[in-house]
Amino acid sequence: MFSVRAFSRASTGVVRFQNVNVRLFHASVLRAAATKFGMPAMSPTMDKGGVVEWKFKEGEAYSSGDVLLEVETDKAQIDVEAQDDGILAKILLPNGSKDIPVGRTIAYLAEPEDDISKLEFPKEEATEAPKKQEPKKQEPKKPETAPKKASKPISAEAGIFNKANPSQTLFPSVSTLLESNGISKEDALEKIEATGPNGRLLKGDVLFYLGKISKESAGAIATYFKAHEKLDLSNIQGAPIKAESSDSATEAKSSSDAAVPAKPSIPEPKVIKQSFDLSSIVELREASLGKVKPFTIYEFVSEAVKKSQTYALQRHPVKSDFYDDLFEDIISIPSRVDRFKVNFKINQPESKVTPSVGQPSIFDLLTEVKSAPSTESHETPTVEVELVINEQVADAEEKAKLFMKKFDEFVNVT
Amino acid sequence: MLSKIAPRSAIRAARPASLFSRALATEATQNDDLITIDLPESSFETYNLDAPELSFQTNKSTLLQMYKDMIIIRRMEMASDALYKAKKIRGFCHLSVGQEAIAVGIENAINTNDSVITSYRCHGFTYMRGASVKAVLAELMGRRSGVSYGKGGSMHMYAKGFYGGNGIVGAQIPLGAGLAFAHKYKNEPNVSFTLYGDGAANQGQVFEAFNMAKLWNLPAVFCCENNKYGMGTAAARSSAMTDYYKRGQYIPGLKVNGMDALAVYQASKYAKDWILSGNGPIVLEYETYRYGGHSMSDPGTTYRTREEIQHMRSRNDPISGLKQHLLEQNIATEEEIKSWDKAARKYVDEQCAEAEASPAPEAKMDILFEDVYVPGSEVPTLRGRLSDDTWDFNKKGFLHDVRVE
Repeated sequence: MFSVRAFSRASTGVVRFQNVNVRLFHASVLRAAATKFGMPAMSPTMDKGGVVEWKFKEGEAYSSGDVLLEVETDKAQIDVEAQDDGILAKILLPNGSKDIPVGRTIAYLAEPEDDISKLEFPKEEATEAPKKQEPKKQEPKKPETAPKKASKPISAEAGIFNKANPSQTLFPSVSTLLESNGISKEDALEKIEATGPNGRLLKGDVLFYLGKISKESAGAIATYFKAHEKLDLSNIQGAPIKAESSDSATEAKSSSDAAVPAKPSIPEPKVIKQSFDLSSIVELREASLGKVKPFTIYEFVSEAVKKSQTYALQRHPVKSDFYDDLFEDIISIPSRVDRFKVNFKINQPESKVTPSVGQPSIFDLLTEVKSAPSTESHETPTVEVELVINEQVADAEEKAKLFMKKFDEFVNVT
Repeated sequence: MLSKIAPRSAIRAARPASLFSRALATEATQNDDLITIDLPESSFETYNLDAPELSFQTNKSTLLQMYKDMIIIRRMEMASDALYKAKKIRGFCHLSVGQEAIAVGIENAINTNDSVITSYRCHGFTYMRGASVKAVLAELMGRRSGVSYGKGGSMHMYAKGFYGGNGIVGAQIPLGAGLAFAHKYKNEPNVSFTLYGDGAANQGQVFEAFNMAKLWNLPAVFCCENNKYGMGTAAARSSAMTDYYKRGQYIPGLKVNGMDALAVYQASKYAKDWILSGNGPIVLEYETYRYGGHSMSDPGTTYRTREEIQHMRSRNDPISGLKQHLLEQNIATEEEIKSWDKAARKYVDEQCAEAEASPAPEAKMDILFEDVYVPGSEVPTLRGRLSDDTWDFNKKGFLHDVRVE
């Protein structure tokens, strides 16, 4: 249960580590250091304890699981077990010692193969350590209370402190407090202002009357209740109609209130790029002249993009005994969610480069028409497709890959 | 010294590759690396099932790694115990001293794509699934560098493929069946290991999970860690039938000596193979023993004798058992093992000191809400009890500033 050795090591910290180091590398070093064994906390509420009886004598070896000593807490006597083998090198606090704070060194322990006569005892420092920690913990609380008082004035004081209702039964906490301060019930109802509902005296009211707490503290609860007793619906806002408009909403908010922190920086979006050879499309176009409605390369590519996108966002059932469309509806992300944005750029050798991102401008269309006859050149046109992935959607990358696969099928018709 | 005990996280980082190459290397260096293990006949008891082979081959390196992992887990648990008694760990804390063989044996039998879920006694599993000793101890002490950023504590630790300690007794069992369902739904060649104690085995939801798992033939391994005592009561005093491996009725069962890491390893491997050949779920019972109390508030000696504990410690300890194997098979010498023990102690001490030195989470409201959603997938605002409590993820503050600091 209680690892004697580990405990003492945890409290002595670095000193011990260096020692182990030394001993591992230089076996000839004779002087081994003892480890401190601090008073263990046998329950979370234990602060002090006493040594009832040491079950081992100085110099005796113990093995893991043995009861080292019996410790007395405010509630019970508990056995402290060793979890590791070792030697009880020196007892600092004998049987019957009482009120030992948790963490104080009560004995020194050594490892099984250590020679006790040559043992080096560490200097007594650790005893002070746990004590130092306590005030540290309380420190941050202090500054908190000070500004609270200053910044929270009771605005509607008048409605908060009322005359005490004379026909009330006092709370046990109130009557005890009055009793112990020698105030009669009549006096109290007469003199003390009440903040409870319907003129009920609260413990805080009495404490304020006695000058033990400030007026702000006494009225704080009543102020809070007063502020919340009517359901305030004034701050309810309509939800933004479109998901897209949430951006503009936050922008509007930030412009109205400069104190609002900037939106968290979004990491660089992931981009998948691939370039496709369009020679087979050029051939296809020539072969189909007269058979179907004539089309430009641009028209073909944008149609292929659309079709591949539809394909990618479709549901692709996994091969599984349990596959079920209804269940899939529940667990999968709807197809309308944006997984990726498609940008493509057609590079044509003869004509100038036609960058077309998303929707084509009229110039794109014009150059496309002009360049149409020149495609008979030997160099082949290519298209560069770039997918900007929305990484917030779990299956975005998977869908983007499906897109590329389908698009490849479209442009490589042979 | 330290290099002898490589931290698990470091091993983990290289694992996907090394695991693969190890499988290949086995063929090449067969005679050098492979050893034959003969388990005693008492290792297994079966229920509607053929027993696993008692004799099997494994790598020397696997055995060594198992030993090192076990001593690190034990040291880690001992450090937790000490920190708790120095009041540096507060709240709940359930230690698994004595039960290390289960976490180690299972982990070596499965791969990272399999899933594991367990109860609140979860430190060892968290470590075996890839969290560092520092992260586990820091979590216990409520530090920012903890596995759950210091907000989960002893019962809420997670890692990749490890779905946590669960605070509610038995609640992880239906979840484990769900994990198995996910594997089956996605048509993955993986299984889920669901661990629960002998106390939780009497929960009604165990049998609901059994029913669904068998009905759908889910790849679920239900593992009862029978440490013979629930919270303060012996198994025989609380259970009408203590053969937990027979509790599945229509699910075959296997009882395993949980104090022998090699038996656990062989049984877990067998269970996985058995399920993956399409046989549906299986119930395992690892018979083990915890040396400490149920939790830190239980002295552990009110319902059993100290002699019994000492007897188990000296006769059945999983670490001593594996050490014996290492010595008998001439895999390691007494000195080597001693040096590993020391190195493990030193390693855990260092990790403990690092964890202790790392800072606690800042006292910021922002930190309170950061793990509600995966970053980037949040809703714009998270509704609270009152309209005043509504949290705005974009603003990183309450939607309406009504609070006076």
